[in-house]
Amino acid sequence: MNRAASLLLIALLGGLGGCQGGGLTVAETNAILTSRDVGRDFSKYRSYALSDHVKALCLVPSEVKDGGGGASGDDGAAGAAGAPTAPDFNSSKCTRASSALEEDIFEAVAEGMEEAGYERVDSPKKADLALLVARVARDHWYFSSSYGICDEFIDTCVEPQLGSKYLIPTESLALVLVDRKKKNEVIWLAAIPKVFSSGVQRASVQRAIAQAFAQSPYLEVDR
Amino acid sequence: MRLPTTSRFLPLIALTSQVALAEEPAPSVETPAPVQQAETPASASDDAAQAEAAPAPAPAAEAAPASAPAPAPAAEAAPVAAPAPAAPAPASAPPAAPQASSPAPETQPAAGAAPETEPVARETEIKKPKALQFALTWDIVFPIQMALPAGAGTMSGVGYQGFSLDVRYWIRDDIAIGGLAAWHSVDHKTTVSFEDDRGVTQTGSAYVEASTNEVLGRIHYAMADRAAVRAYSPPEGQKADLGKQIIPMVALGIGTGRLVQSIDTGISRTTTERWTGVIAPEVGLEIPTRMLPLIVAGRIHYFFGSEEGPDQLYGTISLGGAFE
Repeated sequence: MNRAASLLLIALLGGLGGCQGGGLTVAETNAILTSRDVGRDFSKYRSYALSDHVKALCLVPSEVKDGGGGASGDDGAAGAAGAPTAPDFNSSKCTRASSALEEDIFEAVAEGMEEAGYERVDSPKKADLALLVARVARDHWYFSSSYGICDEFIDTCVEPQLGSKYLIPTESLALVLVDRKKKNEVIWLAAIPKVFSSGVQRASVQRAIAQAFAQSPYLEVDR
Repeated sequence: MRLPTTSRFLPLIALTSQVALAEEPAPSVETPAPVQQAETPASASDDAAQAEAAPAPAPAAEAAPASAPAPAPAAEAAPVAAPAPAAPAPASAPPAAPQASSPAPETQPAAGAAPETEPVARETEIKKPKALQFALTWDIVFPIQMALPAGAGTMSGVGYQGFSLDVRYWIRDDIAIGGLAAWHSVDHKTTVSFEDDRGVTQTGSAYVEASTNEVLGRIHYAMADRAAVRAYSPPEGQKADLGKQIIPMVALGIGTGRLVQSIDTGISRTTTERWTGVIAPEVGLEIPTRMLPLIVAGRIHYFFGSEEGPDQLYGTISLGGAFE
């Protein structure tokens, strides 16, 4: 029986030896996610308005509402001032990022929308769509109903409804397209990892944004 | 008919006959007849010519059955002894060169004047394989046609995570039935682009993984005499014949399997899981050693497609051992 036990042990060690598995490292995570409202007719939209700043996604809107405060500001610290009693708020959970590439980001986003055939207007009230640009400044951001975005640009909160199945990494760029005519329903969302990480090259950011539009052909006006 | 030279080999024949795979029962019935014929001349003392013709062997032939009544196996050897008169010069017969791979024919040369000690020593080394066998193997996985969920591509690479537990019951010397339970896993990093059922498209690096669990009923066919291969030892001074030291086998497994596949992009993990029918043909070798029989096998695993997913096909190479 000793022989059998030895054999069993050897086989199990051999067979299970690699069970620790792999997985992507943070550095390797580069998947670009786009989500659409399935069944939505995108052909009826013609114009859009682009937010003028990058929104820091730090506080969960429900936390802010429960605390009696408003939407969070451009980063976690600003949000703290507006919601001092918000539950589960800890500014240490939020990250700060340089804005060196913000201009390039807006430029690439505008270019993508233009190539898709949309006309840009200044006021969100006059546009069919509003495009919010945001930075995931806190871990475990799910873009689910409880992790929506409150933005003064459109003067309300939106609920992306992506679901908890999708975890957007910190320092990702989020592009959220909302229907201004229909209670700011989110019709499209793009998440691009590591855009706000240090050392990211401008060209790679522009390529990633272009890829987000490229893998969303349904956005094109003249399909 | 007389059996003068056979009698002293009867113990040897009895021993070898124990390892012979099959002896026909019919000849054993005939055995008493020749023995009685041998006794007859001894009782006919008035025939001097006959008495002179075979004075010594006749008593020897009589003594053999008396001193070794034991064996019914001795009676089985009678067919071997029967041709003796037809070959009246057994001393000139070629020396026995017993090959364990064909134990039955060995008994015939043993009836001649071959050295007795060498074959006896070899026969005692035979360890007859037991009917019940458990095999445990480490399995290396090779995807052949494994489509990822949502049309995200196919699996590739080599998986070193897997094992099989195989139970075999030899209902005949060359046929076994049994079952197998196995787990296999293969994974790699790749680039994917796919849209899931919720309208979410992901493009970029991904860690993809497929793992299976199988439960199969199996039938094995050994293409060599298992007992003879285990007993084989090369003649002194000669190189071993590798072909006589292995037992080639084929097997077929049919059963069910669970297939789990996942795509992890770092943003989300898309997983599918299903049960389906599995068929798994195998070719392999059993290599007897002093410690335990080693198992080397190649197997193809075919998971049937269904509404939940397409066919899946992969191969494994199994390395392990068996205990009995």
